[in-house]
Amino acid sequence: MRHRWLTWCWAAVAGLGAAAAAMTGFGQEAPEASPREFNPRVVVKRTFQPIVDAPVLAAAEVTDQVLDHELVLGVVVNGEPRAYPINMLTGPSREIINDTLGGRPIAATW
Amino acid sequence: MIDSETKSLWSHILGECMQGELQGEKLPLLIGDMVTWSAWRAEHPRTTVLNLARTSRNYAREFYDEPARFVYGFLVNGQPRHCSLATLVDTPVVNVSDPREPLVVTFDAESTLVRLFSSRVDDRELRFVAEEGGRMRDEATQSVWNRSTGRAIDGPLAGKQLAARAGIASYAASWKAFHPTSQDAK
Repeated sequence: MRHRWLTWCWAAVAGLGAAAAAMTGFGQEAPEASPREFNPRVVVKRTFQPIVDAPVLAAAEVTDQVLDHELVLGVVVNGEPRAYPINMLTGPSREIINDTLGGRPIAATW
Repeated sequence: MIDSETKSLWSHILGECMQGELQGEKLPLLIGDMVTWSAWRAEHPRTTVLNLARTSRNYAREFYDEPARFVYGFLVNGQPRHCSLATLVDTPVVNVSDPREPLVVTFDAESTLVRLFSSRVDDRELRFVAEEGGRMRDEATQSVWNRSTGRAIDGPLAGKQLAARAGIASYAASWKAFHPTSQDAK
C-alpha cells in the first residue's frame, strides 16, 4: 500500500451511489459496484475545509472540555495516545480530523 | 469523503477510494476505541486530547442505550463479520469461531468499550468466559485477563498480551448496507 499524506474533508457525496441503490437485505449477495457505475447522491452540498494541526491538551489540563461519561475516539500510534472527544466532532465540518500521531499521518473520524 | 490533494472520492465506512486518481486505494484501518473519557484517561494517563470548541452534548455512554441499533463490525481476511451490541450486553465475551483466525470480542458496559483480539497465544487457541469486574477467564489455563486491555493479570498465562485487531462500532443498518454478506460472529 502506498503511503500518502492526504488531508481529508467531507465533500458533496455520501454512500456508494449505484451500489447503495442496488443493496439487498442482509445476508444476500449485493452486485459488485462497477467503478463506472459509481454515481453518488449529493447529500452535503459543499466541501468543507480540512481540519489540520488542531490544538491538543495534555490530560492534566482538561477541565470541562470533555466530561468523564462522554465518549471519545481513543487511538494509540507508536505508543502515543490521543483522545478525540465525540462532542467536538459532530457536524460535517468536524467529522474528520487530520492529525499526526506517533509520527504517522492519520485521519481520526467517526 | 474527499482528499484535498487529488480530489478523489472515498467511501467513509470502507476507507476505499471509489473514484478519481486514487481509485482502488484502501486506507489501513487503525485500532480506534469508542470509549468514555474516564476509562481512556485511566488506561492512558499520558494521553493528549483534541481541543476544539464543543459542538454537542449528546454523545456519552447513554448513546448506546438501544444496543440493538449497533454492531461491532470487522473483517477477517477480507470477509465481514459483526457482533451485535445487544449480544455483547448480554454476553460480554464472545468467542468467534472463524476458520481464518480465532478471535474474541469483548465488551465493558461501564466504559462502553468493545475490543477485538486474536485469541491465539503461543500456538494455542484460547476460549474465554466473562468474569465480573471487566475480566475474563480462559478455559484452558483458568488464567484471568483484563477483557479491555487483553492482558492476562493472573494465572499461568499472567503477563501475556492478546494481539488487538481493528474493527468499527457502527450502526447495524450501515454495516449491513456496505457488507451485505456479513456473518454474525456468535
